[in-house]
Amino acid sequence: MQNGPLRIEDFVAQTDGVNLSDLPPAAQERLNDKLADLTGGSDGSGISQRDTDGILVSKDLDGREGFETIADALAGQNLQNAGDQTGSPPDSDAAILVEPGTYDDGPLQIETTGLTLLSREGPGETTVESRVTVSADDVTVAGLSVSPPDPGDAQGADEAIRVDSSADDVTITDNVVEDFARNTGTEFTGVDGINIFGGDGTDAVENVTVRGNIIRQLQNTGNEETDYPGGAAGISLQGNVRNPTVENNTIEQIGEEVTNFGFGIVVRGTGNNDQTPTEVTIENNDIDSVLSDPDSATVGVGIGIGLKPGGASDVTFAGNDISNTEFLFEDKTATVDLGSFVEDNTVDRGALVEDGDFEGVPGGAPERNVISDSIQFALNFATTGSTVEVVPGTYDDEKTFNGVNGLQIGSQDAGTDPESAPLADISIVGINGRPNIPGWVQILDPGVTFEGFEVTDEVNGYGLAAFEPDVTVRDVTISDVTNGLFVPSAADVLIENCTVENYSFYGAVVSGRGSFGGATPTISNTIFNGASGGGAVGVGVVETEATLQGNEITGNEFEGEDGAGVGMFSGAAATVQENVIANNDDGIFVAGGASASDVAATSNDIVDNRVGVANETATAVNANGNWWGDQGGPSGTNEEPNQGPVTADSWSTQSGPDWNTNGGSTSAGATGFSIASTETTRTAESWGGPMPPAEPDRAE
Amino acid sequence: MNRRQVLATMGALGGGGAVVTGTGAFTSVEANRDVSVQVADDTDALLRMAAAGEGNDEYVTTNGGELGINLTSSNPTDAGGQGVNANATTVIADLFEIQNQGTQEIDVEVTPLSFIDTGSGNTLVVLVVPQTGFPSVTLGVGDTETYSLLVDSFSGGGNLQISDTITVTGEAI
Repeated sequence: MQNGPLRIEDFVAQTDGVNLSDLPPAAQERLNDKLADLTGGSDGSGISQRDTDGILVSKDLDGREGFETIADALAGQNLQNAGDQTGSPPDSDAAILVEPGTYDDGPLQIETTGLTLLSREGPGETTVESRVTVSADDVTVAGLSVSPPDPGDAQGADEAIRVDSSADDVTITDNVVEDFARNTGTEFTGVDGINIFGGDGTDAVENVTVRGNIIRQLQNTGNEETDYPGGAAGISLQGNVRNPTVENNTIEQIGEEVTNFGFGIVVRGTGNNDQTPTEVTIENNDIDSVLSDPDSATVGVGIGIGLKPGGASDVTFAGNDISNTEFLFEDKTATVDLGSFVEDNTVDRGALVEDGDFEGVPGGAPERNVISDSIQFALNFATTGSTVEVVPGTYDDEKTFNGVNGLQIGSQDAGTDPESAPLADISIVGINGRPNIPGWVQILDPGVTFEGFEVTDEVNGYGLAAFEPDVTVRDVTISDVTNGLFVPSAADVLIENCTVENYSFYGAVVSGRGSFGGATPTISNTIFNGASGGGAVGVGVVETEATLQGNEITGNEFEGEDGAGVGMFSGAAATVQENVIANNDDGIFVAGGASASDVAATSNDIVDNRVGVANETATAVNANGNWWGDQGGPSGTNEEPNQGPVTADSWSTQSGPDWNTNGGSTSAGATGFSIASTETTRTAESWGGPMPPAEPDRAE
Repeated sequence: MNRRQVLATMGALGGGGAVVTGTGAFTSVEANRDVSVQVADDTDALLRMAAAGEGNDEYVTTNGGELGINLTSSNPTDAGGQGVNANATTVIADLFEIQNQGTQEIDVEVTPLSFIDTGSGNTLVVLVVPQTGFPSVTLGVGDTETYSLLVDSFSGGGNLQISDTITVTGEAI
């Protein structure tokens, strides 16, 4: 008989067909609260005549019939307060109810079919300091805190809760497995919180449910003189296991950064047979902080599967929340669709590598699909020409260069040694939103596509710098930088649909200086918002040709009059078409050393600048067909007329995108006369603004 | 042996509302889920079953001589309540009582004392909570045991139903 308030466990123990695992923990908690109100009694003595109809285990029997240890209850020995009876093993379907206390009974082996091992007041009050092994069908283990001692090299002592011997229909629910550490021993062995072990190749462990448990603080350092003797796993499904369900568990702090490798949940084989788990359901688990020793060659993995070929299709993942692990997911069969995985589960961030090259990497699978916590780390396994998709998140611990976080795509030597460009033709693409890199990005291999990101810091003065041909930067926002983009004069370089804002100097520098030149990079449909950060020049072009098309370049000023929307400097020429160039000091500035005859600035909106076009050269710049903000043509709504030789014989009588050349030329045609070029005779003011900065150093 | 029938159902979900727990009357606001608990006729004169008369009698019905406990829309309260709230624990304290009207001391046991229905992540739980003895109680001649009802719907409820039978056993010691 017991006193005290009733708990939901009492009702479960009394009712056939009802399991504690049927009740969500939150519902259990509030039911227990209400039961305490109803049955606690004003003096706390609670309900009387309370016989839970189970086998009682208590550290304080106080005259009641029962056992003082769980081991005695399982063996049916040393029964207390029962007269002449000394006890007998529990019958099938019996319930052992464990009262609060710490039980250090040695390994517990459950071999009774249908047995329920249940704590009376939950894992917060009931600790088992030994391993619990279930070897019989229909067993339930619920509500215990399990913290076995350091297993060292002891065989079979390295799992806190284990289901084996082909046991079927076992439920492990609402337990806490914690503070399980292996800090001695020299053998290669693992530490598992809950292990479902199908060691018999002919008789599977079937229909096991692992639900609502908390597994935390597992580590495996082994003896400190031994390097990396093994790993740690929160929940491990191994070998011949059929139809297991792992759901609603919380798994955290696995590996604790001192362990060779770790898994939150792992589905894998055994050395006993060639079977791997089938019909596996892994749903609604919360996995956080699975981290290996940073000095080890292996990592922490949120969910990992290592199955025989074809086995991955037998695993269902849904509703899991995974965060702060080195690999959020690892598929050694390289068959799981990672895009579907991130749609069906929640990850705090992740770079998706499919068919990654893991040749020579520990783990035995040369090709894997992984979701990496780090883009930079993922690139180690990406293959030439592949696509790495990246989900939204903040990628703030990528590569550090000059003390600043950033992403290095490719090799420093790519330009001189193509063999050193393993990331050639790779695409890195943000999906399902825009991942944020609070740092710099450098593209050092050719053929790279970088798409769909936010870049919000810089190194060596630039937010994003490319150095090789065939690079595409698309749909990227670059902000909070001195200079936004470094665009090399290299073949087939394209910047499109980007936004550059909060820059204090140049939005972009297109450069043919140094080792670059001879190509015509293109910047299209990109916004350069100089006003947002005090930018001086939207796009600066130097020693190269460039195509600027469809861009919106606004608000670039420097000390009141020496900024420019587009600045063309020594050796520069450009086709500037279909842009909106507004509210800058100079809309377009052509320096004395530029190749003005090769500048075509046509079909743009050039409005509301201090000067529309300022040309320092003696050669006229072709500026026909632009909308100047007024049907009267130059200088329209710009504060001052164009400066230097600027040809604007015709102009558009409306703004883009429907530019025309009806202004000027139309009236000439009507009269049958040709009018002279409207070259301005006003000398361009000397450029007092900043010159384009040099290209940044490559990240090392 | 006296057979009693317990039926609990949960209908469609609705908006939130207030829940009054603990002793006293229960008032439901805008609840449109139903929990029905019915107790069938008891022909054994040794045991009397009746509403406890502690303010929750509205949930206890008599139909054809059978005592019933009905929390459904078919038995709305005077204030209009027609069921329990979703995602809440509803306590109906001191709902009904069992009295030993026999001539000797007996053990009274009600089984089962809990009912659970689950589906699509929702659960509906009904607990029959005795006041003084668990799971059984010894009643002297004329003694009474009072039972409360505890109903929990989690998380949003859903079209859950519990339809089952309980058995009340009165056995002379």
